[in-house]
Amino acid sequence: MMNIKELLYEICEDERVFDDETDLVESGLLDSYSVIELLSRLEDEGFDIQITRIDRNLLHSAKGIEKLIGELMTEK
Amino acid sequence: MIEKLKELAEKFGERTAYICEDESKTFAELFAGAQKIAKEISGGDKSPVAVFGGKNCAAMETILACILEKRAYVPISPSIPEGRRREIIESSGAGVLINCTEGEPKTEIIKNSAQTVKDNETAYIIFTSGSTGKPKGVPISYDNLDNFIEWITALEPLCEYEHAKVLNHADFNFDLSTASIFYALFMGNALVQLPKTDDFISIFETIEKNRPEIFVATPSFMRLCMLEKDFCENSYPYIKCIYFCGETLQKSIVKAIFERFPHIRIINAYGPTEATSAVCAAEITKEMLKYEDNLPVGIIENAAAEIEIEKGEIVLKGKSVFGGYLGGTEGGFYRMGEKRCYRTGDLGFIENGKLYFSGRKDSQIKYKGYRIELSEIEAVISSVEGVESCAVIAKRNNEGEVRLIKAFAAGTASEMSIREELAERLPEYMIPKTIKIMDSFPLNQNGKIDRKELEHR
Repeated sequence: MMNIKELLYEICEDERVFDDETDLVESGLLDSYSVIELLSRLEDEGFDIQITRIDRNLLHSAKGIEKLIGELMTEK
Repeated sequence: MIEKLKELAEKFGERTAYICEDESKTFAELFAGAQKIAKEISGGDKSPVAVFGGKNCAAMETILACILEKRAYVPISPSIPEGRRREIIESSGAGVLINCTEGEPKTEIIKNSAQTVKDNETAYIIFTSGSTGKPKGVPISYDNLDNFIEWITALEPLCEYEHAKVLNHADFNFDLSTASIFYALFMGNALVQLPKTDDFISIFETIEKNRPEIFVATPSFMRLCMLEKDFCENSYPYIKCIYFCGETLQKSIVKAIFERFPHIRIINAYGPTEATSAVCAAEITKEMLKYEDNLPVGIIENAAAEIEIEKGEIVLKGKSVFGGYLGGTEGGFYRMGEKRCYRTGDLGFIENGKLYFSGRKDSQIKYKGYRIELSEIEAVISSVEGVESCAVIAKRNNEGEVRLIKAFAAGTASEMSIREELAERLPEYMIPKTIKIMDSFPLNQNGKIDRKELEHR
């Protein structure tokens, strides 16, 4: 399983991604550009992304994104 | 312009002119609304009107009302923080603020001592990032706008689509919206507004509900759309054309679009705010992907301005070019006799009658379609108590697109205090994602901050 916090750090280059308390969206870390990059990276990993089927609430935290990946893996 | 607008209202009366969320207005309704607002702002000193709001019908009616009253409109999006709003309103010299954020537009008279346009000739003032630390106003005249409208409504293949719908995602303070507003209006087409671009579901719901034939978009917006697997010709057969402007169009996104939409027509347009949104455009074909290293941004022959290359820099001359910044702020504007000219700061070259963009000669960047002077961000950070020195850099991906803005500061100021100041004075797209407090900066051989080295920190 990929380390989602490392991936977020690669995208955002900000150590706040390692803090579980950080709201990735509210803090501005995961803005529309970063979301595109995150989802593109997941696509590169072989996940089938349907942007309209993604629960945006999951993007607020690393835990949520891990859950999203879990769901995508089930579909894979 | 006023006569032309009245003609449009008569000619296209019952056609749909404007759609935003659940609101929809015909040309007749839109102009009736505009005339009502125009009465409220008639008379007075003809100072500019600050239009505060999103992209709802009221905001559009207010813009048209300003044109009817020959008062320059100054679009201010709610996403602009309060501190910057104040700066824009003050330096624009606006005498009236119309709040269109909800319900009926609310008019407020403002006391403003700034010297500004009261000449009946300025159509709008858009504020862009300024290298001195404050946003700078670009006044666009009716003469400029007339020239732009004449150009865009004759542009192939846009001129072929009548009774069509045009999708716009740009805020009114981003001059990409100028292209969609005036192209749609003057072609008798309906303008479909996307109120929010961060809500994926609402983007595709709006598209499916309204079935726009034409997209006016940045490449970044299309990258977002392409993340939807079903976004292809089979599912969206009505999409016929995409007009790109505002950012460098990369071959990779064009290739992906052609794979999904084999029959779509793609236009790549170029132009700074100072030359009225766009001055030239080139249709991008599948063949170009095979033999062009970079995609052209325009055909010289059909341009709205004279385009020349001087020492590698793109220089624009003629009717499209504005008449200088508000308040006399220095920049690339100059006159040659009566002719207005503008040194864009963009590097480029002309080959086989086509214009190519190859970068910037300064630190200005394009991010999320907006142009940003990194020095403006540095000026704001430097103003925070305890900051001794700072540097702001843009990190790019392999295709040269900016993907991240990073700031570094040395001194006793905290990251929090810097973030607070940035949030008060800069729009979200200008706020660096990463802010690092340093003990000292790496220096290059000339004793200056080594920005290349900072990219790796």
